Amino acid sequence: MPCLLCLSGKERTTEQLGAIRTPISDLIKMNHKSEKRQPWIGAQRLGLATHNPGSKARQARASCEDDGTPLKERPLSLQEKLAQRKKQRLEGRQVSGSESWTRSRQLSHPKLSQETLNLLSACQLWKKSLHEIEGCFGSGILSYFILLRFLFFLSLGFVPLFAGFVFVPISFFTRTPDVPAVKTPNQTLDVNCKNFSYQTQGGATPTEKLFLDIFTGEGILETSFLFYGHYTSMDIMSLGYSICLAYLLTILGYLSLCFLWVGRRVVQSRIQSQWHSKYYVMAFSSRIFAGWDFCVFDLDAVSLKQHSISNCLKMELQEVSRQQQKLQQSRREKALLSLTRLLLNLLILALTAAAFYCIYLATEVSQDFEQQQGSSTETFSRRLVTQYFPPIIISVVNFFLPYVFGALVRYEAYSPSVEINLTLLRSVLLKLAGLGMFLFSLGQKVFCIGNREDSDCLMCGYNKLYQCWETSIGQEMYKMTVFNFLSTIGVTLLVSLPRRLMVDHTSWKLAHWIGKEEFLVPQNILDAVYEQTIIWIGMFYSPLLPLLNVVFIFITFYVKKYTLCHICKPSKRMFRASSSKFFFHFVLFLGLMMALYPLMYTIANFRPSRACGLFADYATVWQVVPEAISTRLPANAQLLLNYIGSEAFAFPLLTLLCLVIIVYISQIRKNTETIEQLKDLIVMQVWDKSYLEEELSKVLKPSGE
Amino acid sequence: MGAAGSQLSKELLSEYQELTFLTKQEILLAYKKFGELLPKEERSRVLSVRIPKAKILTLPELKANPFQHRICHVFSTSEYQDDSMSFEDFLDMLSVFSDSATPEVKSHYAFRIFDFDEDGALDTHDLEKLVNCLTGEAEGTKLSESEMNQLIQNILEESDIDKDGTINLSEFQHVISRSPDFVSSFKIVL
Repeated sequence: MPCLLCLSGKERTTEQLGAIRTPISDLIKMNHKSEKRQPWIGAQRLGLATHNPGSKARQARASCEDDGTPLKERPLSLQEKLAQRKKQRLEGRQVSGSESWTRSRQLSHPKLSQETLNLLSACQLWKKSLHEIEGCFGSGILSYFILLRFLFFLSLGFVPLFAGFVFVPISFFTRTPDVPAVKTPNQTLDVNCKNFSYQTQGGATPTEKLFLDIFTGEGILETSFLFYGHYTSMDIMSLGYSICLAYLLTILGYLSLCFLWVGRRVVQSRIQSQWHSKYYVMAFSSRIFAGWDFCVFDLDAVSLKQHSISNCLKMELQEVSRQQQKLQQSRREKALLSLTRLLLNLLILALTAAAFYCIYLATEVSQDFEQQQGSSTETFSRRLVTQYFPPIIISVVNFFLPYVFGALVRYEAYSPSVEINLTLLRSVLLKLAGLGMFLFSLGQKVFCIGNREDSDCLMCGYNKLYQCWETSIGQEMYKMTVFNFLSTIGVTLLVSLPRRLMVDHTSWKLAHWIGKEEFLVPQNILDAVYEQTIIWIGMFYSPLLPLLNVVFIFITFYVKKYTLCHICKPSKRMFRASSSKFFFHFVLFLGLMMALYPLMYTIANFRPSRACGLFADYATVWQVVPEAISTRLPANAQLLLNYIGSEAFAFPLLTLLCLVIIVYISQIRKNTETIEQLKDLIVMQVWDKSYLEEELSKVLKPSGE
Repeated sequence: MGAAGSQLSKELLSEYQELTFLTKQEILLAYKKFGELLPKEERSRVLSVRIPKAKILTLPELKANPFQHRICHVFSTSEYQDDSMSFEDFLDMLSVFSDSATPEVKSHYAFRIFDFDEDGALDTHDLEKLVNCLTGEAEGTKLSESEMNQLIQNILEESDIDKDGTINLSEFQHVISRSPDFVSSFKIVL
């Protein structure tokens, strides 16, 4: 009577046990040697099923006969759904007025939303390309391109905001003041801090000059809308609209929107990846049951996929046996391993420190060079290279050190998956910390951090060599963005493409040894996140940077697609989209935090440059906000805002948040307990069932004989 | 859509929309693709004709899929068990594999696709066949017997909650609910 056991799914609960009993006893009477594990055939013999093989879903059918789920969500064939619908319609005649109204509303509501969805899906960007990529390479690689699209829209979202609140008002509604403002409170300060003039490049032909301008953001570009310095405080106070406030709030508002959006995605992916935590280790099961990408339709891709699954399974099986071996390791071996790991970590730390020092030096050299530029008559190429020194050094570091990390991690004797994650983590830290180092050394130059008594810095509140320091920082970020974009294209055209051509068309041993390049999703994703971080950092100083980024991402998408389809081969290692999703979103979040912190700090603490920009007359940029509150808002609103800003409000808020967290934590604990109990319950029920089964067969056997 | 599209009446279209997870465009596209599989003289009777399995499997979306036979079998409602597909079966399949289908429906059909002997539970033989489909039967990729045994043992250890040696639908759905990749990968779009 094994049929009882193999009835699957929801039937295994106790309440259905009784219901099953009758057909079971019938079954036993009819056929003692009932078919092993073939309830369908058994059922057919009993006349319970029609000859229709579509009735394989019989078991589920019974359970979802009328439990209120919409028809389309039931696992039935379309024929059966149509039949059921007819039946429902006949019954529906007796439905009362109010019920029929809600029902029709339920029906019309999804119709409406579906129509809008139809419209939206029609104008989805890159839908066809994404489908193609998914079909050829699977959902893992797709996740990179989806991230690109997300970043594209993230940057695009800023453009209308900025245009609406700042750009349009500034270009159409401002008028230059008729009488230039006469303000001569401090002559020496003015002479020292306001003698800003746009740098002119000597000794270059016009084309060279234009070229240089485009790449360094100086000359024509320096005075353009691209940089902070262009937006001077031509107020349109007559309309009651403060450009300063709009500029600050647009950018801060956009950044907080980014914060919410990215934060939401982090939380969502965290919820997904939670299942990978130690309580729910189902590595093999989920790899087998959810391992196949049904969207892959390319024959080569299928065999590649099979290869990667096979490799992955073999690797993990080895890992399991390795872990068992590890338990038997002697203490001496363990100590030796820990020592190696410690030494290697120290080595990596030293390498990173050296890399940071290089970045620091590069910034120093490039900034010093820039300040002396007026007097010197350097050659064109030398000037360009020195200007681009920091981005070049940062890229070189980010390019080579991960390889070194990857080589070193092999000696640390971690399992393969840990190895990959560790290398990635180190690369991420290197990348973000490198950027942080660059920012720090820039800040040190501009604000003389650590050396505030410097004579250059005392007078203006910032280094007087940087008359318009916001624009200078904007230019640095602009250079970084341009360089990253150019290096993406350059590497594709000058390294990847020749490599591919060499492998395909020559018979050199070396070329074949190198082989085709692999398309590494994690590295590509990290690059994209890194670029986005630079945009976030630079957008206050160079508000059109996001627009530039939109263009760059658009081109990058096609370049990467070409690289993937025609130059690279997909990586042999399977890249699982969901398990790493959290990691990448977290890195994106980290990048955002890293951009926000220095920005907030400078906005709140440092003197904006006196020579240019909207905030030239304020002690700090943030001062605009309290001033606007005190002059424009009614007294009550001021009181309210002051209260919200005070400790008296912060303390209860903090307490409340703590309470909420405590509630959640205790709920989680309770839930895990309940889950354990439920699991026990299931096992108990199976015992019960098999016991009952035995008893039943004991009772029935003598009567049958 | 032209002549082919006009045959699908408005009522039927909205009915299909309501009973499947497909949008209007997707249904019309499916109609067109299904019609293209038919010989010329039968194109006028798209709604009543069945397409034999061999023809269905020429679709690029199914051609390379290692589970193609199982998919045909599960979604076919043919009386002769020849796995031929009517237009409604075809829609059914696309609906389950569409983006908007619920995880419950998807996992239910996945279970039926993986249940090779159709006994309502995944036993060791089903699992073995499943793994072989995933890794391919080629020399280099196929798992050795000991690896296979170890793998199946591990799978059962992880997901056979009631310890009866097989994985039933609810256990399967339990695993699936913890595999966030599933919804995005159990997908076929025309």
